[in-house]
Amino acid sequence: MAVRIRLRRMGAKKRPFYRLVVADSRAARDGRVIEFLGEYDPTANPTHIKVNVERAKYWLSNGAQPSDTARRILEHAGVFGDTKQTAAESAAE
Amino acid sequence: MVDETVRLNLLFDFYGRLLTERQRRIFAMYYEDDLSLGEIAEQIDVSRQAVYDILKRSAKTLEKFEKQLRLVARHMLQRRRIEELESRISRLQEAIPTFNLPNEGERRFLEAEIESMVKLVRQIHATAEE
Repeated sequence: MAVRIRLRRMGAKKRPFYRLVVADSRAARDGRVIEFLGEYDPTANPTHIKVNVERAKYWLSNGAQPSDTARRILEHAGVFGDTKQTAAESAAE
Repeated sequence: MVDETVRLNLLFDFYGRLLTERQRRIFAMYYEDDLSLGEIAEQIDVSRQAVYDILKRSAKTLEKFEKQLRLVARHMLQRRRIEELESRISRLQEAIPTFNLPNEGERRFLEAEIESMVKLVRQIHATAEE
């Protein structure tokens, strides 16, 4: 079973926020998620990012593949251990 | 990458209905559900390249509408101004108890006026997001 970490858009029209979720890649659009890992709200000032780093590391170590956007959020949260300035800046903007 | 996703999702909220049904479906799969090109291609049984082309074309269409209508830019500006107004009203609410207002009637009047402003701002928020 391919497990993915991805962002899922939530919130109202014109007022989105995103959840970072762990999901089976086959259950792509049916809303089923294995676990919520965090949230990202680009409309908040400053941008709100909250990630359960421990669980994110657990899933990554078990082979979960993050999407490109999810990876940026995880990088910003320091999940990979090196919070690069460029990644932090791009996610926070 | 994240900024681009957020921006395109916002454009999609405003102009999404102007895309074709097929473009909308694929756009939502990619930008709202964060599926990869490969996953989308597999689900709708087309090539990865076809999904990529549809996404690029859709984004170009959305950008074209924004360039002409500027609804998203205006929405963002309006939201920033409303938030500024909320913050100023909130500062005023916090300041009233610290004022030396001997007249109880005047104090109540001020509080009631501020409360109506708060309600109005909430209504403006709701209207802006319809």
